[in-house]
Amino acid sequence: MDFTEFVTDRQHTLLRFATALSGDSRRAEEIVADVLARAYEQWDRISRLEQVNAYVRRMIVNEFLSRKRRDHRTIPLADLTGYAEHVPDPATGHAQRDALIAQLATLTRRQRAAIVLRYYEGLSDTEIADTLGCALGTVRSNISRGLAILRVEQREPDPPGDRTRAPMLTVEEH
Amino acid sequence: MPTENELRDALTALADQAPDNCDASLAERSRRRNSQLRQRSRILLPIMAAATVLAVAAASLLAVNRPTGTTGQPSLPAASTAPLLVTGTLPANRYVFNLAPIPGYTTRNLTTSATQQSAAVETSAGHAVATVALYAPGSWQPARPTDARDVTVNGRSGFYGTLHVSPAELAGLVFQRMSLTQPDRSELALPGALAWQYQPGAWALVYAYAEQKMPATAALTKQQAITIARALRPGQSRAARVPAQFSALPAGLQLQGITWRSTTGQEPSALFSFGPSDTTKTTLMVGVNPGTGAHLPHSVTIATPHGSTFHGGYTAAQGDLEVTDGNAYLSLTSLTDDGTGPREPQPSDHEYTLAQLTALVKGMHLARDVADVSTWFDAATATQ
Repeated sequence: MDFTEFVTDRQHTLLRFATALSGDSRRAEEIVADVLARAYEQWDRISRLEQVNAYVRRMIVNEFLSRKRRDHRTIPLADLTGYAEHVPDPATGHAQRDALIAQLATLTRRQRAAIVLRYYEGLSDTEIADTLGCALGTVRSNISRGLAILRVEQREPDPPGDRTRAPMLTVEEH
Repeated sequence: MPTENELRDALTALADQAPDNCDASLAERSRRRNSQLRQRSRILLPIMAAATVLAVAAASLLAVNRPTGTTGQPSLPAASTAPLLVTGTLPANRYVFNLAPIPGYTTRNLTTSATQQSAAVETSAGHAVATVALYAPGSWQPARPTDARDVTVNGRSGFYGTLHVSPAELAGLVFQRMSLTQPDRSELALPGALAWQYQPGAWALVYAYAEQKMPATAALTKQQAITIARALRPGQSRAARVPAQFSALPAGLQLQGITWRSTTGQEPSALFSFGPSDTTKTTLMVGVNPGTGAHLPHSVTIATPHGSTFHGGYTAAQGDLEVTDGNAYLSLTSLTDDGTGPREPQPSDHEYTLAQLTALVKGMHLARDVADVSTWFDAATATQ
C-alpha cells in the first residue's frame, strides 16, 4: 500500500486513537504526525508487514509513552473525586462520562495506555503486553490500578495473582 | 460507580474530539516532518549513538532483562484483534464509515438507522451494482451459508456465499418496524454475498444490489465482493446530508433513520424516519422527493407503517398546504403531479393527529433546490 493511500485511509482512525490516548486533540496530531514522519522513512519495510495497522498503532503508543512531558501539570485529585456523586439526575450519565474523561488524565501514561488499548481498541491483555512491551502481569496491574483510580466497576476481576492493592493517590497529568 | 461499558463510551467520546482530517495533507506534513527529523538526527545522532553504546554496556553489566519495543520502532506485533471502531447504536444523522474510492465505481448514501448503515456502489453510468451495509455491534449475525467459502477482508475473517436473509435484516431498524405491522416473512436469497466481522461481534455485508423488492443485479463474484468490501472504512465519521429540516416534530419523536433513494436518471430523494423511544409506537415516515416539473418542484409524502399514506405535493409559490380532514381520511395535498387538481385523500390510521402533521409539514424547511444535493443541509441540523 502506498504511503499516501495509507495515511488517507487511516489518519482519522489514528487521530482518534491518539486522542483517546493523549486526551488532547492537538497533542494527538503532533504524535500522529511524528509517527507518520518516521513511518514514511521506513515505509518500504513497514508496508510489507502483515499487520501494518497494528504496527503503526504500536508506534503511536511508543511515541505517547516516550514523549517529553512538556505538558506536565498537576490536577488535584480531590477536585475530581466525588464529582459524579454530586451531579443530579437526569444529567448523571453525561456528567459521569465527563468525570471519567477528566480522571483519565490522572492516570500514569502506562495505566492510560493499557486502559485505552483494552477498552477503546479492544485488545486482549496478551496483545496489550505485546504492544507495550511488558509482561502480562504488568498489564493487568496497570489496568487494575487505573480502573481503581477511575472507580470503574470491573465485571470480571483479574486472576488472583494479579490483583493489586489500592492505588496511591499521587496524581500526574501527562 | 461507572461500569466498563461507560468507560468505553467515555473513551469513544474522547476520541470523537479528534479532528476530522480526511484529506492527504497529513501525508504531506509527515513527509515535511520527516525532513525536519532527519536534520535534527544529523546533529543528535553521534550523541545518541554514544549514549546507546553506554546504555547497552550498562544493561549488559546489570543483566537487565527488559522487554523490547517500548520506544522507537516496535517489533512486529502478535496477531491483533479488531479495534473497536464502532460502538453502541448508530447515529441517524452521521455515517460511521466511509468508502475508499473503488476504481470504476461511484458510491452514494442508502440508509442510516440505529442498527445499520449502508451505501450503494454504482457504475459511473449510475447502474446499481452492490450494497455495502455496516451493522451496529451485536445487532446482526448472519447464518453461515452452506456454500460458504472463507475469505479475509482487511485482515478480518468472513465468508462468501449465498446468504438467506429477511428484508428487515437488510433494511435495519427503520424497516424492521414497518415489518411489525406489515409482516413480510419471505426470505431473500443473496447469491455472491460477502459477510465479515469488521470488528469483534460487528458484521458488515456486501451483496448485489437489491433495494426493497427490486430484482437484484447479477451476483457479485468473490473477487468483486472482496474488492468492494476492502473499501469499507469503519470508524471514519462523516456528515449525512438531507433536503429538509424540521422544526415542529410531534412531541416525543426523534430522527431515527434516513433512507436515500435514486434510480438511474432520476434525482435523489430522502425518506426520514421519526419515531418515539417507545418502540411499540409506530414510526412516522416523511419522504421529500424532487417534483415532476414547474407545477410540482417537490413532493412530500408522510406515511406510517400501517400502509396509510398522506401524499402531498406543493409548490413554494402556492404557499401553505391545503389540508382537508375527513372523518377517516386526511389529506395534505394541494396539487396532482400535473398541477390540475387535488389528489384523492388517503386513509389515515390516526396515530398522529391532523394538528401534529400539519405543524410538522408547516415547520419543514426545504433545501433551496431539492433536486440539487449541493444545496442540502447537514443532517445534524435536520431537527433543530
